[in-house]
Amino acid sequence: MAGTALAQTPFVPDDWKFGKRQEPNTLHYCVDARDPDFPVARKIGAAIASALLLAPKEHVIGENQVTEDIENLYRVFLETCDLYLGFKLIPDAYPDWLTVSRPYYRVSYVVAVTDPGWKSLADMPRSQAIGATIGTSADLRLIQYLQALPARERWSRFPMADDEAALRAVLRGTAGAALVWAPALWALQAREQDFAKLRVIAPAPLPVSTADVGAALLSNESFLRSSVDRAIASLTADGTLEAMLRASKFPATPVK
Amino acid sequence: MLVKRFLKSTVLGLPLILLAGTFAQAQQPQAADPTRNITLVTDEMLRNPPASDWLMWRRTYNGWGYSPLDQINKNNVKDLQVAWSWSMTNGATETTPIVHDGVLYLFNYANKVQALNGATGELIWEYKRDLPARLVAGGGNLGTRNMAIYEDKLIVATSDAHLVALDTKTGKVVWDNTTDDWSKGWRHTSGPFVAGGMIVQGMQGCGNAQPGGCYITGHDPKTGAEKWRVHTIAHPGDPNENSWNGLPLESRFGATPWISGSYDPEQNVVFYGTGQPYPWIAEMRGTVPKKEGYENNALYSDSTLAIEPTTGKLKWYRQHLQDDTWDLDYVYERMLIDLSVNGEMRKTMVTSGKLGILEVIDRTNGQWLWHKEMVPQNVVTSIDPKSGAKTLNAAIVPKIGQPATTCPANPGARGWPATAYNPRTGTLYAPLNEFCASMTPQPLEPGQAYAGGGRAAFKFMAVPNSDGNFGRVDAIRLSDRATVWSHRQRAPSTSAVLPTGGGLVFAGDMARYFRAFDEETGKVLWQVRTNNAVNSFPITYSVNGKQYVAVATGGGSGFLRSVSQLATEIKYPESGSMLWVFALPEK
Repeated sequence: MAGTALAQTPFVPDDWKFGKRQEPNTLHYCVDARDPDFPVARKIGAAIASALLLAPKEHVIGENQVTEDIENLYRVFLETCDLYLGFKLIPDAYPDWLTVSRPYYRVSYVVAVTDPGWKSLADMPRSQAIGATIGTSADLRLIQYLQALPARERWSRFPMADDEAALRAVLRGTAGAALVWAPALWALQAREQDFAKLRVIAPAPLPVSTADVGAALLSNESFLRSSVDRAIASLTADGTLEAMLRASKFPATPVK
Repeated sequence: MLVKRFLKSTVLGLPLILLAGTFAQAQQPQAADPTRNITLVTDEMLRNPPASDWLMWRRTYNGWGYSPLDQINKNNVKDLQVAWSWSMTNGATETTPIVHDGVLYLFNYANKVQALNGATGELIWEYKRDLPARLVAGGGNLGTRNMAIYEDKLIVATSDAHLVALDTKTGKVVWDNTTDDWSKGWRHTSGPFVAGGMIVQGMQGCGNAQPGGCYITGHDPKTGAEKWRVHTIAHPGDPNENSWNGLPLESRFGATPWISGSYDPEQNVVFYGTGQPYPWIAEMRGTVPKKEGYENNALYSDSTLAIEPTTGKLKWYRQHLQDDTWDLDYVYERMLIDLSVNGEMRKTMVTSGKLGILEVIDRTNGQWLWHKEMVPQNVVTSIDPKSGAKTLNAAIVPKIGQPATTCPANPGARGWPATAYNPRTGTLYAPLNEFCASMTPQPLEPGQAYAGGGRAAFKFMAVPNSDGNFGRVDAIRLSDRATVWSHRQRAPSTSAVLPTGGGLVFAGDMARYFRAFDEETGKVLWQVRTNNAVNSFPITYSVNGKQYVAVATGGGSGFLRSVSQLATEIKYPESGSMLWVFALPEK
């Protein structure tokens, strides 16, 4: 790693670049306390290390900062971990110096409401708004869908800063439905009683939106990348990941 | 002197073993400590700064960035040489030093502030902010472009969203006030100025999906306490609340005032610019398609705000780009210039945003006067000469799944490096760059916490029929709007410009050159190749009758990293920030 040029890497002081821990028997992986899948990611990280016959070393990131620029990851990789769990496989979303492993699970974006009478989004009156977490892949599809409709047939769409804001907008009545990442609803319902009032309905007429999730790592770590990909394939094939997700009642499926 | 140095070392927490070295150093002849005789900076001094001082970001309230000092001039600039230099903390170095009574105050990356002897470069005191570890580990821009000085206080805005007043003589903290919660992304990348006895400061970091957007605040210089707040996004109850296409407040983001402002003492009005709404793509933020019964120009993004600093009253505003979907901020310096327009003297405000369109408006009411396009652009197809209303090019609006090629690209035909105005020549000097970009809207959520902002993917390219040059410094005479000269070069322009009373215009670039141009012809009269990209605000000052020119160098800024993609054969070091100070040789 030291001294290797990566295209357009973010600025870091020199003393971050030279020298790297030499622990060939340990897999340093980061999990993010801000991510709704945090408890599951911890188990997946340990399982990957185990599959690689490496000692697991977990690092918890992001305990006191709400959001970060993706460029900040560069420092995290230089200083802390080889692998950072919880990144979506979105084409062209990453800088050249960053890549994402094979996915270890697939998750849907869901529509959450409080109204007991609605079975799908189609049942929601057009006078109501959809609170959508801003700029997600599902949100982009919602935007395209709404724009294809005549103006009078559209729901209003309120972009929200994050999943929690979108869900709270439904609880407050600002929006009739929230379009959010399923694990966010899962985590919030486990954390706060208020969110128990929310339930998931079918997204129709919207299509189901999904995203595959893997672990981020530096692009030049090609050996690690292939090793991790093989480990995830193995954990998927032998049912380890599926059992792990089921045990946590986590709303995801392995990617076969 | 000896005792003072000893105490300083102890205060700074240096190991005792180092004191021997400090002691030995003190045996050498030292210049007198100029802080001993430093005077209070008064309101009158800020209105009419001594020629020897550089008391605020653009030196004077009118934002000209001009110094009347003329000891270094066209005839002798060829002899200019390094007087002293000072290594700075490595990192983005977009700084503007302040100079008062021979003391040069310097803001380093990672929030280290130093007082140096302006004649010798000797360190007088140092303040190092104890930033939260997570903030430092996160990296990003931990610099600030400017500071303020008032009475006996140096006032700095920090990366962890504080305003701090330091004693100008000692560097000791006089007060330290939180302006917002850094953990939510709030931060300062530009500093304050003092106008009408009030500290005026813009908040930054609100592109990080902070509902309700940013704000500008007024603070009591004695305590730092907030006295007023002007939201840069129309909130409920605001006359322009209706301008966000029916979105609730929690769905309105952006309009960051990320560059410091100007002040007209005669009117008692400060002028502040704002950035674009977030996210960049209008489709994503919900301001298009326009809904019946609502406006969708997203006020007060990309606007000039005229604010009374005593009360925080918004006197008027002018939006320069409505519902910006290209990330083309209109946030940069506002220059206050009295100009003849159609035979009538007008009190004008001159500014330009990333679009590179020079815009002149009446600073008493925001009325449109005239404009001049400085670089090739394809965003605005026409401007109404009476109202200034812009017709935007619908063909290049980026849409989801549909990239668009825009000129200029989003780092801008001009970035934060400031333009300047020379009152002797009536000429404005602008650091410009010519380039375009293919802009592709992207999902914002690669990782749950690594989201927000205004993401789109960009691929930079030269303008059509380019001669291969990207960087320019242009001289534009405001009386007839003529481009008097244009210095064109391959390397992008990356520093602010500094016109002086000596008939010179100083400016720097990505290729590490710092140059002095002839103000009338643009001829390069002097140049030096520094250690790193020149990516800051050069200043000039004098101590005991001797004139100095100072400029900080260093890579790491987002602007520099963006334009470095244009001429990839031009390299600059990844590390090495430095303050260079030049002067004429002793006779």
